[in-house]
Amino acid sequence: MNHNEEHHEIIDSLERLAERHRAEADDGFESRILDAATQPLPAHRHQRKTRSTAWIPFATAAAVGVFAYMWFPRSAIPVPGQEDDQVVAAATPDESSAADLWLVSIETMEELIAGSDDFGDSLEWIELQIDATESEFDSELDWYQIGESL
Amino acid sequence: MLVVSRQIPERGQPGDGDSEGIDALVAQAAANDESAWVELIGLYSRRVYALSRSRLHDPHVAEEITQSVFVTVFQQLTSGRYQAENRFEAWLFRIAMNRVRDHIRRTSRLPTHNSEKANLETPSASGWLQNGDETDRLRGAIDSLPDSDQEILALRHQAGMEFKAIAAMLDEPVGTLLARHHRALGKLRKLLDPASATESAS
Repeated sequence: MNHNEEHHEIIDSLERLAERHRAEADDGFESRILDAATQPLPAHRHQRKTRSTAWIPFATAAAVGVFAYMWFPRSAIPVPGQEDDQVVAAATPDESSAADLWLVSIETMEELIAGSDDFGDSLEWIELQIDATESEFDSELDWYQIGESL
Repeated sequence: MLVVSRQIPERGQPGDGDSEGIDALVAQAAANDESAWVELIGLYSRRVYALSRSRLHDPHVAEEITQSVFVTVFQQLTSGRYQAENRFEAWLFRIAMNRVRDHIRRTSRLPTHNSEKANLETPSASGWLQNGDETDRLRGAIDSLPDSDQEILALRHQAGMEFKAIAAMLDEPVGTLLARHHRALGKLRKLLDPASATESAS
């Protein structure tokens, strides 16, 4: 205690406080501690060692989920987000139109592009024909000739 | 009854570090010898109680904690799981200190009405310093210290542990603990008697 010579009064006070605390408990204190320490543990503490069945509902739910995923019939129409589909463009519906345009795969996109080219060509061809024959429909005679030819 | 020759300190008083005598007693207790348990509880229960009492200020809680500490000690010793040969005291008071810390943590998370109740039971440190008797003033001053200072004072003086045992318990060098203890005493002295502390410093 050499390092604390200057604090001997405080140390004495602390020791007195400790004495007071140790003496505070009554005479039956040790008996109560002994009884508490040596009494057998409650039975339920041992019963907790038996195997728990709490996992069964969770395992059942997981199994049902797996089977549902494996066996649930899938839609033939490609739906965004499904396996093997690649979303290349999407249009969100506006207020005036209920039509949604979902381009859900590369193949679909190519078909639409090819179709639109053919349609455009047809329109151009019809316009050219009309321009070329416009002068031929000037008289009623021409109309009759066309009618006869049909 | 098996008689073991050893030096046992007076009931509830700190011993002189006779670890061989204590180890023999612990070995007997582990063999479920009731007289050894009576002796072990006689030696340590009031020291554990004083440690808890000084940190928690509630005699009932202190006794509950003491009981729970010895329940754990009994279970560990009699089941053969006790592995702290030659360090029984450090092991015992580590269990006690952990229980005290757990209790402090739990009560600090309680809703307001319980905190208010605790405040009614334990007046503030400043109130004690101004109005209480010597013991109250000392308790108030200790409560004003940081937790680490309170712990070292409680382990050294309330539990009556040797610094070597405290070092084993906290896993810190003895020199560090001596310095911390010295600083804690200085702070305590300053809180209780600022005038004398100033004179001493000058």
